Amino acid sequence: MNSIPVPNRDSTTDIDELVCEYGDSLFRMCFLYLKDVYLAEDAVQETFLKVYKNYPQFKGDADIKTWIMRIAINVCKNYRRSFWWKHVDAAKSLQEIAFSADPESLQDDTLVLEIMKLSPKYKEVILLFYYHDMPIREIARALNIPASTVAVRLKRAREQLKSKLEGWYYDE
Amino acid sequence: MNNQKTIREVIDSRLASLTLGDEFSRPTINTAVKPGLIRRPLGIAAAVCLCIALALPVMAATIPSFNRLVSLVSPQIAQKLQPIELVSVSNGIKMEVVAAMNDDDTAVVYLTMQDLTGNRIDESMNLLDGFSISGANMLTSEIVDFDAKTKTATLRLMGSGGDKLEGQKVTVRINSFMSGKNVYREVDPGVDLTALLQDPETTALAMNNSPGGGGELYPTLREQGTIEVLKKDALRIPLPGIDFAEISNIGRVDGRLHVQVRWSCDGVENNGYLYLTDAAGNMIYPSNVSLNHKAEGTSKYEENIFELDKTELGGLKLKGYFVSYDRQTEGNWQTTFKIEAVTKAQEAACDIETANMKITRVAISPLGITIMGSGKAPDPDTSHNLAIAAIMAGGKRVDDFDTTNTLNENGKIIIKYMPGSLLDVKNVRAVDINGTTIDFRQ
Repeated sequence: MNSIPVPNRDSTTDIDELVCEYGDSLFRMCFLYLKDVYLAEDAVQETFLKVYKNYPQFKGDADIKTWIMRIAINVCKNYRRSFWWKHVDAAKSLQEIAFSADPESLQDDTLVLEIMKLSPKYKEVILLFYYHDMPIREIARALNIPASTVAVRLKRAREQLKSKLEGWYYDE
Repeated sequence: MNNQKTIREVIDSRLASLTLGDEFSRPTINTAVKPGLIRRPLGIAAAVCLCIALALPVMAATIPSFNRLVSLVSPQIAQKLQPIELVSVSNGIKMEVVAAMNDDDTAVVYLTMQDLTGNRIDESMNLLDGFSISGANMLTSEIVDFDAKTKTATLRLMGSGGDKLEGQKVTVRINSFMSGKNVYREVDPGVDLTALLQDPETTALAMNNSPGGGGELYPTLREQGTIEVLKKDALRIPLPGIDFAEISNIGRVDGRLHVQVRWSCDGVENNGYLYLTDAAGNMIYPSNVSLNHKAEGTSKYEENIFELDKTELGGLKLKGYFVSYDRQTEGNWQTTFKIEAVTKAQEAACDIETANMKITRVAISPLGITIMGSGKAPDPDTSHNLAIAAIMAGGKRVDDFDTTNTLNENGKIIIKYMPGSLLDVKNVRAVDINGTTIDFRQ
């Protein structure tokens, strides 16, 4: 890969800081992607392990968040391809997650369940765009696909969600 | 109604209990144990391994490459794969067709490529169009694993659309592959779009003489019959860092922004695209028209056309994304083998009219759903795409398709939808196409 290294960049990172900033949201994204709490926890752990080990090679040619998301998505994809992977009922997995005790919190699974049911290629763009607030060009970098493909997938994912959530909820 | 919350708020609220404990991070990192092995109960591992071992006793004991492949694919797929173990060596590189499976019209082949003499194979290797599967018209390939220690890549090749592949001899042939991928992002030629020539010199292009193109505008341009394109090589604007392409002309033609790119044809399949970007990072992509066949010379010209008027050009910057490969390796890797269908496909007749297509038959097999008909194939990038799902006994819908292959020949259309794992055919109750249900219970 051709890239320009950032001069004077510290070759070590404070992993605690990164875990603090991205850990919980990565955990939730991995759960929505893999539909299994334990696999999601493993995926987050493996992601940060890779971040820690590869940080000296991270050339700063992308945003750190983009780089971490790219690693996380690739780890999740590898899990789906792996020997361990099995198809999981999203509804059952979600039922096993306790609702928050906060009375203000949402006590409804509809939207989360529909996101879990999206095919991986749609789910990943929805999660990176809406959940991680990443712009299309950063998503394209994270997924290593053209921005036009991201835009098309996002459009189609929105359409799928819209058709399923009509009358209940829609974000736009 | 929950229209006060964003998607992020909904997810964080519903999954609030999913947080990483304090014990996460530094101690975890320091242990550096492969995470998957920490929590997965070994009992489950043993049970799954035992299942595979029982299902494939002979193969697992005698075929190391097949055994390794089993560790890369899901157990469900592993049980359907037929070991092939045929080797072809050419140019110091060994190709081994490890295993395959097929149905009536699709063959899936797993093979490894190992460089015995050098480092020409890496994790970015790409077959592009340098391979074939006899009898199949629609081909895709992807790398599923790369072992740096043994310099071995495992690839999955899929070929569909042939006539009755089942029980036939299949020849897999690879002629070339690319490796050493370089990606060049946000390449800025430094063009001031506001200072472009108003009436650059143009020539007429009969669209019938163009080898192809794409983008939203392309169908309109084809309908026009003849379009005005920029005169070739009137300018030379380099693309910094890119030695295989340059801008050979730019200007506004019929109110649209035309950017002509000259690609050098040195035998390596370098590629890329131009786009416009604004201060907020939004991107605008062009339609494009190829101006000549590669065979005509050492350069290939492409006209990129942006539908924008002059007032919109002020805040925009022209940029590019390019991919090149360090090397193209050629050889003659070829094996022929015979495979039997994993399970005979089941077919049902139907009569469904969509915006562009009339669907007359649907077939299901473990490899996926095939729809057959006539008309115009749906464009996967538009909302005219078909909504396909297998409805399983119990009501579960399988609509997560990793691969879609389309064959369009003389108005006859075959589209194959392949899920990430195999379809459990005996439990498919029906197939849903755009809301119409085709019963498969008989």
